[in-house]
Amino acid sequence: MKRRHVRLVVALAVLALGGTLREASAQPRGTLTIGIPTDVTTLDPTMSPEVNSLNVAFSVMEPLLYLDPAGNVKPLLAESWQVVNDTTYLFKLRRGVTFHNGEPFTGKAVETSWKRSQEKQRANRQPFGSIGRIEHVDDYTIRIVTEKPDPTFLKKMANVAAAIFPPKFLAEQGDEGATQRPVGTGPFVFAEWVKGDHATFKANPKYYLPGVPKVQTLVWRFIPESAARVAALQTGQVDIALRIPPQQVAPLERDPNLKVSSALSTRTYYIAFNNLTTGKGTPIVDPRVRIAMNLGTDIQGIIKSIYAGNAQRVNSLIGNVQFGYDPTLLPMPYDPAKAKQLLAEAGVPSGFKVGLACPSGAYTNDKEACQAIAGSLQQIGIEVDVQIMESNHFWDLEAKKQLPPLFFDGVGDRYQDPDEPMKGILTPDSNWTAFDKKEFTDMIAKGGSTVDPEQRKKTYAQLARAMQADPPFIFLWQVKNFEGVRKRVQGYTTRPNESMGHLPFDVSVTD
Amino acid sequence: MTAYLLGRLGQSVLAVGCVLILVFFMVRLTGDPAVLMVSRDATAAEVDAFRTAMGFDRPWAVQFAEFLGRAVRGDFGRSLQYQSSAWGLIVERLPATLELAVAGLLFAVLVGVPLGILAATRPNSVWDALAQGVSLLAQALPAYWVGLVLIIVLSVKLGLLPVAGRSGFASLVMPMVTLGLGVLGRLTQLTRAVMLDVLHQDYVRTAHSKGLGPGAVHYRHALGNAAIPLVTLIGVNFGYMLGGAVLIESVFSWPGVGRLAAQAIFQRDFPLVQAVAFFASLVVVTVNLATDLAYGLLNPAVRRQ
Repeated sequence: MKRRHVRLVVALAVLALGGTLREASAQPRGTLTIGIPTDVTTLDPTMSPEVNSLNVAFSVMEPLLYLDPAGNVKPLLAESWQVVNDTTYLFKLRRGVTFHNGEPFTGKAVETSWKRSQEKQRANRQPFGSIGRIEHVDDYTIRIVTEKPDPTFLKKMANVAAAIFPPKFLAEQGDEGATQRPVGTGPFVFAEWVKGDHATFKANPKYYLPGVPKVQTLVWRFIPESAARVAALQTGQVDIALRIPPQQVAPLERDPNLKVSSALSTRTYYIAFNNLTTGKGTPIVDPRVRIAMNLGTDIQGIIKSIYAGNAQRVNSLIGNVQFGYDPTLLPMPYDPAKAKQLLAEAGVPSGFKVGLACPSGAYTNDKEACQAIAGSLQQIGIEVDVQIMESNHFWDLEAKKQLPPLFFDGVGDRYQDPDEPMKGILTPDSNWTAFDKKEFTDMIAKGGSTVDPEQRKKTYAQLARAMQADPPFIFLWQVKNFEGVRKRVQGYTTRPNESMGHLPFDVSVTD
Repeated sequence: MTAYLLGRLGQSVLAVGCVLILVFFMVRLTGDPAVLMVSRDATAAEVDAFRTAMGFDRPWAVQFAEFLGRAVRGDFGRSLQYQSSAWGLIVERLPATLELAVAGLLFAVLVGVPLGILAATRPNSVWDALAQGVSLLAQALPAYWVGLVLIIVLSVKLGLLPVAGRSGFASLVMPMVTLGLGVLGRLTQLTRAVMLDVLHQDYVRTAHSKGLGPGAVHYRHALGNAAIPLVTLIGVNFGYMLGGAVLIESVFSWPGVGRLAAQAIFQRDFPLVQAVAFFASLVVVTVNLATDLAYGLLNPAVRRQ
């Protein structure tokens, strides 16, 4: 080649390389569309306890901390923190961060947001129940004192319900502004919300972390009908489809343009025993009867037939993906012979009749599971009268403790920690509790009253064994949650608690 | 005519009023909204606090009085879920519902009526059989199933139309067809029956013998007299479509009033349920009034009453 030509080729090569390098320096590109199964009703994270609305809000708003895929707490708006003692935390806030409307992010914004989140009418005020007071050391350093030791405090501060709002925006636009046109410090800026159709967000060019977000436009599409959601994934109208029913997974696995992603959901299903109201005076008061009912239910068989194997048994109500889960404790075995023996010992050798209430359409295959469980118990002589109810009516009665002595339900948790769910279904001051035993209440309180992880693990292991010895529930399963992802999406993982906070940091699209 | 209209208006106002009273009390009889709206891990004390803060614990008479006072000013309060004006939410979704209802109706009328006329003018022919077959199928096939099949064929397999949402005419095609199908079936059958009746009248034979072409005979002369039962059918169904076609809107994720209503009911969003009930009764009453007026226009005998 002539020397002139060589120089030309080299020059072109350098230009091409430079161009590639510039591309690789992470400018947000492309549009990511996600099909979600619910109609979002508010973009204000303090008012919606429903996980999909919270995820949409997460595009725009940020809390102080962030949970990585392994469940570890990482810095976000708080640069660093110090656990001073069991009830005191010192947070150093990130400097130079501004809200999308130009307001500066300071400790004052944190205090205003949290005071607002604790107001009585906030549907999502639960995470802040433990904060006693906030002290400002300076503009960017705050000290938080909790009323009692709260082992999940840091995880709560990583939840979008603890997101920080700009104070002037709140003062001027109030609840309506927060619901309809949210402003935060997040990697995306709110663009539009067409109710019932979709919500669109654009990359925040002034976001304080480089290379975040990785996509330019984020669109959330509301498609409640699961068949339509799957179809939208297949046609490419959405790139990610959430909550795909297990029966619709097979054709997606055969599609070369898609991959199916799954994770064990944190929601744990159970049959509750009532010893507070309707269960009093019935045979289920006797622990042997309740152990017998656990031994007499063919749970693995039901998982195979109703869930096609896409669920995992739990050994107690502390689930497989929760902190404090003890893998050395085996789930109670299926032993109908032993069950019948226990029933005889308890004085009901030929079984008895009992009612079981079941919500309809609240959870995947809830009705079918209830009927299968009734069928199983029939084999050991217990005649179960399955009463299927519309779910809102069911929960209404559950809260009033008017359901029959047995009922089917599931308990989820946001922080992969047993403290909140155990308090929610096994302690006397909760609406959803149907069984009261002091030993359990004490152990749950103990597990929640220290921040020492080793102590807590010991307590929860003890609690799991105590629950098997005197079961307040028939321990059922956790179900696999399926999501569909198109091949053009990179870096997406399904989280057990369905949180999408990692989206702006990990997910990009090719083409 | 004026007396007739005024009478009808009075009846309409009474009807809407009764609907409102019924809805207000029935919604509260089904359960406690506080329990439903608060996070499921809330303690009993927190649910009580929420109930008080929202005013659900006041006596029903007090709540109703407040409701009525505001309703006459067009204020149905704030949706508990959306935290914005309940009536405003409906108005926001109205264009989508109108678009779908009008398109569905036009589809049903523009296909159903000519099909019925075709069948009536060629009785016992293959066209007649075809029309009757289509009419039967259209009424028998469940809308939910039709919608999903259309999605599978036209979106997934052929990639011609979008699956979900409202984004221009392409997204309107499948919902429109699914919504209009049932009415199309009934309209075809009714048109055929009514036309068969009319076509044997003397004046039709006169029109033919005058040398008028089939278009003029069938559409201008015959159809005009056959129209009244058709207008009734169209009116009733249009009112229903406008009230919100929940099933169609759910299958196609169409952002209309129907889905809003269903959501409000399941979430016990009282203000929104009341606003939707008022809207639906208003729609039905208005469409019925318009139908009555149409009779007057079509049949001078009615006007003279």
